[in-house]
Amino acid sequence: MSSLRILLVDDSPTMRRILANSLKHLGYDDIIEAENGREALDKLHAEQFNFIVTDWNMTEMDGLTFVKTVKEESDAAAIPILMVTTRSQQEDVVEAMRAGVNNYIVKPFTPQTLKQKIEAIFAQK
Amino acid sequence: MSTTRCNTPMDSPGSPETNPGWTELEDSIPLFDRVKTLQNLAASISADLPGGHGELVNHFQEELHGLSEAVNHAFNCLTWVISTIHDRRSEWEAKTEGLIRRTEKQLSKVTATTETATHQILDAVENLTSIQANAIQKARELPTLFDQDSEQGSWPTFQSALQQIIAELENAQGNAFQIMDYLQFQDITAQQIEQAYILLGEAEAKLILVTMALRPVAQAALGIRGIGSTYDANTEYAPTEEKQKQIDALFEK
Repeated sequence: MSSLRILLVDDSPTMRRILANSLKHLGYDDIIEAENGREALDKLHAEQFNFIVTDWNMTEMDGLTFVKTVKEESDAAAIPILMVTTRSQQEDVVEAMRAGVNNYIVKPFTPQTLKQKIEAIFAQK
Repeated sequence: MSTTRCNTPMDSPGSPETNPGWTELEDSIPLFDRVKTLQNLAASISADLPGGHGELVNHFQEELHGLSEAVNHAFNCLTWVISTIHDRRSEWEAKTEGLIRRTEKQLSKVTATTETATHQILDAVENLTSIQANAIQKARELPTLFDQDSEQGSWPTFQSALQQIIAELENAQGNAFQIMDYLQFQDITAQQIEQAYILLGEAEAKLILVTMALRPVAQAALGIRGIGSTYDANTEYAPTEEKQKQIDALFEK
């Protein structure tokens, strides 16, 4: 079982459940959920996390703004971020990269893709 | 002819085709020409009459001139109203036709996505049921195989059957996870429906704008911003391998 503490951010309860189940299947059991960037920031300020998985399209605060905010905060800036979104236009991906995401998955995804991207992120560390 | 612009607000006047009153109004336009004729006639009479008698005719001519201006103004108003309605209608038809088609396309995407995902889920469920049936059958045979192997003092057949059952169960687990992957269609359709809702809101607002009397309501309707979530207008429920490869290439650079 991995010791990673994961912050999972998505406005769709179904997607959160699918992602959480997929992450648990991969051995990541310590998952805290948030339904938008604002709520995720609150949780990030209250607890320690080693990894963030976030959607892009969300109310209150979207994923891109959330990523930019995290990268501006000295305490959280180093936390690797995986974006999982329906957005697949090249300009969106480039914008996410510039914002600071470490990897990017387009929905609908498979658990294999999720596994590969997480491994790729932590192989770079 | 006067160039006074008519800014009279309309009270839902309808269109030339739908309001019978329009034909009547359009028929009255030659009245302007008839007033002009009367004016010219009065001028001729005034010229023919001797000195003092001409004053009354002059007064009559001035009144006719005033009437002519009034008719002229009414004519301008009428022309403005007719052309405005035609313009608004054409504009609305052009805009809403596009919006309605886009909404229809968006809703078709939802139907297609739901249909595809439902079939994928049903396929996976059927697979799962078949795997479970095989595993149950093999599990039922285990006691017999165990007894048969016991006579030899080792359990190769029994162990082989057990391995097969484990493999079937792993296969079943894979199918269960596949069902979970397919359920991602809900996130896709939610965004597709959101976009259809926005398009319908725009069509509604433009429809209201056509009726000038309801302009404030239309402006309020134009403020529609969706049912609470953001969406990706390009989202679709389709295999993402190619897209993912392109994204991966960007990250590898």
